[in-house]
Amino acid sequence: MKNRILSIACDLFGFIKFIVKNIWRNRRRTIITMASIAVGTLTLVLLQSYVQTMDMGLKADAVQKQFGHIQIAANGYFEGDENSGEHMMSLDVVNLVTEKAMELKQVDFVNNRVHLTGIIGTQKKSTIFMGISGIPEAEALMAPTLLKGKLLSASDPYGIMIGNAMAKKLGVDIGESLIAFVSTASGSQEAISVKVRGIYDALMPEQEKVIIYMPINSAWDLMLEKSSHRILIFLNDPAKLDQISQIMQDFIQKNNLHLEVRSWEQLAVFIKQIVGMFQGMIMVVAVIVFLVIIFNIQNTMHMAIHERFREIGAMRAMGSSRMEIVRSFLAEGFFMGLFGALAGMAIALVLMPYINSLHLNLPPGPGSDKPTPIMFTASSAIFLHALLVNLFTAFFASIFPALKGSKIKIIDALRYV
Amino acid sequence: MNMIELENVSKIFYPGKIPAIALQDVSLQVQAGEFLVVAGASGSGKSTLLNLIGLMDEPTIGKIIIDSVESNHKKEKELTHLRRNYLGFIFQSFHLIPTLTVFENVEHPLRNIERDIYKRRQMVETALNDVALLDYMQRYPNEISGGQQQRVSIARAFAKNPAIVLADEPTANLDFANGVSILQLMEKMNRQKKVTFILASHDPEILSMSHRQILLKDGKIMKDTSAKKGGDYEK
Repeated sequence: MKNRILSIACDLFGFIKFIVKNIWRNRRRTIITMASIAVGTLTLVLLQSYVQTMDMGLKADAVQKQFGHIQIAANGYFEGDENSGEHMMSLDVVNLVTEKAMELKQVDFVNNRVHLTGIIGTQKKSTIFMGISGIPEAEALMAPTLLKGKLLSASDPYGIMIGNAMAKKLGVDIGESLIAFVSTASGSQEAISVKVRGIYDALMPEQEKVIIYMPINSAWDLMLEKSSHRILIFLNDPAKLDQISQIMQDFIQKNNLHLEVRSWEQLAVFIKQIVGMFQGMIMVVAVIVFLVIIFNIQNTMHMAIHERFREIGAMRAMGSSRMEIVRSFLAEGFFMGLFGALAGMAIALVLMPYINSLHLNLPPGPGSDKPTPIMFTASSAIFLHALLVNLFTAFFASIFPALKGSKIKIIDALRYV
Repeated sequence: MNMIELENVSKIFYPGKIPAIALQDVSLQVQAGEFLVVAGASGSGKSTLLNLIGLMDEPTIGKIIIDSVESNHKKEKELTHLRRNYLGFIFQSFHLIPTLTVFENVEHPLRNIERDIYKRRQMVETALNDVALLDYMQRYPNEISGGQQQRVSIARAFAKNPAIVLADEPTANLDFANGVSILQLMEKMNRQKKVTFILASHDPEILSMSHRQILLKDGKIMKDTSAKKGGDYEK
């Protein structure tokens, strides 16, 4: 048994040695082929790493600044006009659900938000606004990048955060007063005086122009009622999303509350669309790159067969089966793919941190006035994917030449000059 | 006992519109252990005859029987099996694999025959010892002379102890001294190992060494020395 295992191991080693020697027969051609595979691997790894960075950034941003991990709202809220006065939850319901959520050790913190729209301005200038108001401590954790001033605070119930673009438009700065008007659910007009506590910076100028962040108490003062549109639950372990969603769902059913539970993934559909679009673009590039690789490998393999025509004939004459010839050329393609992919991956490992350190930017995307940073996030899944795709491509590209090589007529091959 | 039998074998090629008859109604019996030389001018059909016996090509008409196994209409897999187990080849231009050492060249065809690494090593070393190349086994073909390369080719053909060895002009690419040395080696192997040996050649040295000669002309057997002994074959 030991002898048999040793024999198999020796045969395998001998086979690999034979294949590697064959690959290196025409070094220049092999290096060019492997370079094309390496470039293909590098392209795939860089594109996928870039999209992964973008995907992770968008998701983190969506959870942290917009949705939380889980949202709970009155039945029909998610399907209707989100900022209307309908589908609001009373403070009692909000407190009941919040208490239950905070009992769970997987929950980090809970916020509840009211959305309102109206007009805000000074005595000279005014503009429309969309107000997002929540518990100040929680809003501080969800806040966009602060450019000036301070985040929301419970100790400053009328201190609000406005966008840089709105501040410029209204000509106001930190500490200056503004008047906010809204129409209440009963149809009356209400107004309160607020102070600019902080000025934030956002990716989208449109967001900076209209969205203001205010403590929930000031919103309730304006609306003349204490109710909320949604409860946002933040988890300390995102992997427990489904489990916590189910617990909250069960709690709502048990208490006969007319509420709905949504995960951030259900709400942030746009992320899937954006990432899907980029993945589609990657796919197109990948197909082009791999077509080039396929043609390159096929050409190399055809040349190799052409050069070794008589050798194949002699091997066949001496008892090598067609399958052995096929296996030999497939293995050559496979190893070229392997070495090329490993080279491409090694280059990617060196190149990605280097490009990240340069802090390069792409021009601003649609609707944005901020440049998009070029950042790559390496992951073993991306490298493994690139390796497998390359191995498959190289193997696939070798099939036709290998079959062709195996079908050579022995006497033609031996006569070949 | 007949190791090889050819019954009314013809081979016709169709290189263009006009068919070319390479062999015409050839019948032949070769005994086990015989040293047969197929002689004839270039284009007489020597290589075609060897290719047919070597199961590298199929006759257009007729039957080929190797060790009582009829080879006609056999599947490629079965032909490969027969070539692997019954036949050894020595080529005019050696056909050694340049990326393999002398040892590995001899070992390569044995991989499917003997799986045990120790036994296989033993077989290779015995074959290399027989051709006096044991000291060269780690060299590559381009590091040894033409005569030595043909010796490697002989060791490769004999390593698996085949029933039949076919050699197509084995001395044509060698100088006189190397040619003689190779012939003596082949004759010794034939004598010691009782292997049926068929050579295609027009080398007079080879003709003088053979047990039996057949002379081909235009695809027909014009002379068979064994038949001559029998009395009436020479045409």
